[in-house]
Amino acid sequence: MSEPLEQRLREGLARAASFEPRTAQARARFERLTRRRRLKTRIRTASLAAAGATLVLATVGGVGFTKDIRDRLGFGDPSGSWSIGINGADEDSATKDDGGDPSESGAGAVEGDAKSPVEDSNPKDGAGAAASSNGGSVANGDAGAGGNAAAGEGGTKGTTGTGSQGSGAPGVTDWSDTGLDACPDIKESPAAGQSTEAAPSDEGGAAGAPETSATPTPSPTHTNSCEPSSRPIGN
Amino acid sequence: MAVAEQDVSGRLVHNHIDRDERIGALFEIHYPGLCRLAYLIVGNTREAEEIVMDAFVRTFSSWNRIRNLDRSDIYLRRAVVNLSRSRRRRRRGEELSNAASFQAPTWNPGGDVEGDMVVWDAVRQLPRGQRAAVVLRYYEDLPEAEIARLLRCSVGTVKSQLAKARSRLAQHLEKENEDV
Repeated sequence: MSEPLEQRLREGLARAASFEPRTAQARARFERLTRRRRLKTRIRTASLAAAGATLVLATVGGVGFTKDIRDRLGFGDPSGSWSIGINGADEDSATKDDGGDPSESGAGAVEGDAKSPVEDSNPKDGAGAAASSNGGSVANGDAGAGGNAAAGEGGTKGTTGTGSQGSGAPGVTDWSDTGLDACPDIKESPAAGQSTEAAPSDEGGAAGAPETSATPTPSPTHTNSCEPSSRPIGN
Repeated sequence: MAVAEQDVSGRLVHNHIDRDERIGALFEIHYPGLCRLAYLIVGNTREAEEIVMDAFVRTFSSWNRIRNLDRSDIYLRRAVVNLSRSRRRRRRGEELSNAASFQAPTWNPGGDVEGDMVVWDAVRQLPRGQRAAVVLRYYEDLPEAEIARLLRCSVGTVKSQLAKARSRLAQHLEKENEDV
């Protein structure tokens, strides 16, 4: 190729390219494009963070839910002033359940659960016993199986405590279910059939009588009645 | 300027702030020239703009994979050339959507304007491969070895392409002279 043609090519291409692009506009567009990409990265990062936060919240929520369940079951907050009721049987449980070995203690509830007295009942035990409860409610009064319907403080239904369904064999106090230590004094409780009479509790007054002493006595934590002298167990 | 650090595996880890600054500087310096280069290859201003923008975005996205950041301008030029050669024509709607962001080239007064237009028309009629070789050789003034690296072909192929292009251009210009 001749030299003039090469020169013409250089000049022609240079002239064809002699325009000024709008760099500022393109730069702004470039910023927008790259900002989107940066945003995608941020969204991705935020998604991961949100997933982590969800996991944390789920964990916390699970703990809270568990705690709630624990509270309802009476196993919550061991530092609380209310104790765990065990073996508190209702009428049905007293009549229907065998109640286990009559030779065993007919121990009823050691302490009623003032917060959820119904759940204190353990039908399997069927031990003709009622909960003597601090701050017991009607439910505690109904739990007069075995005649020991000692209404708790403030209880209003003591009449059910005179029922004869307490003839059911007293249940075996299954301490293993409660996680509490076995109390040897329970064996001194009356045998089956002896729990038909209502017996006033120490704090709840006579059966059927509204509680007059309105001052509830906080029960010790996890009162498993290892001190039977202070609390009636069963009858 | 510290542009990169090496992590445990030896992979280059670049600072994003540094990346943004350097990309911005590259844009200011090289965007006009790259647009002209792309325009000379594709012959369309809007398509040239799209190509250069695409090249910058790709460079931005793959910044961490660029080993030699001091030669990132070469990376950009290679991206522009390759995109210009391989990019198919966009749909008309896409072209029109970006029409306002690019200024059409204007012919500077002076010199042999008519003759330059003839040369430019002849170049535009070349196949894109030959056109790229001609532009890189006579506009960018790159040696044939560098052109071969950019076009990812052998030096012989570059020489062949340039020879074919010159032959066709000579014929075209000779025909134009006869018409005149």
